[in-house]
Amino acid sequence: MTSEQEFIAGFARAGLALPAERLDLMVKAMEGYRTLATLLHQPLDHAVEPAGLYRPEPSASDDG
Amino acid sequence: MSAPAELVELSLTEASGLLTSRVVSAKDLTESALERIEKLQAPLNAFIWIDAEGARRKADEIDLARARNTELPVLAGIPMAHKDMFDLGGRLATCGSNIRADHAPRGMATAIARLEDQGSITLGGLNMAEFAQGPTGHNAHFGDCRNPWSLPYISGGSSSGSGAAVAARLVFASIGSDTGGSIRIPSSCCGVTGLKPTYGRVSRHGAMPLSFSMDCIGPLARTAADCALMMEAIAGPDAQDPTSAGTPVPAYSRNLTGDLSDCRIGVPSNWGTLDLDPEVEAAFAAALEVLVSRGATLSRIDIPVMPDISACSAVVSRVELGAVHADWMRRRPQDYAANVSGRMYPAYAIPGTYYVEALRRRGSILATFCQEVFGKVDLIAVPTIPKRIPTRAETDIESGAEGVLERFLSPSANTRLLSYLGLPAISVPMSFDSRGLPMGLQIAARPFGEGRLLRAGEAYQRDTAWHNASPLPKLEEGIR
Repeated sequence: MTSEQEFIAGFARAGLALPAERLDLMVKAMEGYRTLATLLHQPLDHAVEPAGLYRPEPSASDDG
Repeated sequence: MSAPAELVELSLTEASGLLTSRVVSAKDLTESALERIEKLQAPLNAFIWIDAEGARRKADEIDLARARNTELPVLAGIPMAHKDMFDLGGRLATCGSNIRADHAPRGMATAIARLEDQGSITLGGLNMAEFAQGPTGHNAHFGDCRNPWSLPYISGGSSSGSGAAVAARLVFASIGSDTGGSIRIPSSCCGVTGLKPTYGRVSRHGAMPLSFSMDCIGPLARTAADCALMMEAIAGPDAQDPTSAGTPVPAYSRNLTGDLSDCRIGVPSNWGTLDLDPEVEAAFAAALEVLVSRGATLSRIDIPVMPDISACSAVVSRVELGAVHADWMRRRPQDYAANVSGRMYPAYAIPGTYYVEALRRRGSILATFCQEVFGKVDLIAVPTIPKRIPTRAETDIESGAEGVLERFLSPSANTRLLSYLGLPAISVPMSFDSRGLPMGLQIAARPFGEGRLLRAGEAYQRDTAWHNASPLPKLEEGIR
């Protein structure tokens, strides 16, 4: 599947229609994200944040 | 003191002191602000709407209460205006958009409610990038907000009106939002002080969501001391925002000692963009010297996991943005400016598994960052914007000019990395370039390190005067 086909499929799933004249530019933009996202393909322990929960915590070494 | 011209240059802290001691009234300050707005709104386009009558009514209430010897909070009678994206009890909240041009929700944003409960006077809604998307201050629907120091240049965004209105002395302070730099960038461009708090430090209830796991609400004002007063009013837990933190709110103002001897400052050897313009580089070096003269120590530091932060940040911000706007993108895509919908379209082709992976990694990346960076230093310092700021024409995406997208995105190169981790950061004015345009110093801290940031900013402002410089003489000369 090409990036363009993948992009169009993603759109169809989201129920969106992209004007034809904007397709090329948007596919290029999406490919940029895809390149970045390859960094996500490093191993990750399955126990890590399975619910996607996240909250910064205060540090004892800061005075607030 | 009662002549409006003499009130123009007061900081929020000074104005509050004069109100408390009854040297000036809320009416004096409000009329002075409205007079400046009337004169400067046309060239600056900082406001989307103005509520002069509501402001006058509130000012009279405050003055009456003071005349009856009622003890009033420090912000009582201070004229402000806020980014036009907060629920304000039936007043407009356009979000800088055509889609919400007539939106007037009945609810009340917690941060603004807390300010108004203290007696602050809301003068209107301030210009912003459409749905807070964009770091330059362009707006296709309400017109671009312009930089008070030189009208052809960007005001910064997305809290563009907040930066311009504070700099031009139209208001004493403003609340903005920051998801990738939207408080810090206009602060730097307009020469004011802006604080992006830790994620969860200030309630997001009633604020327009952009990327809901990164959005932060915070103040822009003339000085760090002013921001401290604002933070004392708006920070703290809120039952209406489950992501708000229960961590106690320190008395920020009382901590402004001028002493930085417990601050180890790290200057990153790697960051978003450290290829600095020579004028920015020189100003940054001078700013560091000031911090050292206040007792801080400096060291170079390598920032870990930078590529991971960039990747995860890009995925999370885009997908959350796309999700928030999915319904309108299906039904009303033509109602967005082309460059705004263009930033969202790619989000719909990013697989959900990527998003979840990016979320799952956040905790471990933050832990690594805190251990390897904040184990060695207490603060990180970089220029808020690495280059001299561009003109609105140079960053107008609709022009399609070569390299315009890179120029459009460049102001956020040094700010967006902190947002994915939810870390707090302040931007303070650190000089002017040879064209007379402001440059900003960004300092970041550990989670909930706002007190240290405000102390560092206030200490810096004890020995510098950049935050006192006013664009008004040049601006008023230019429009005469």
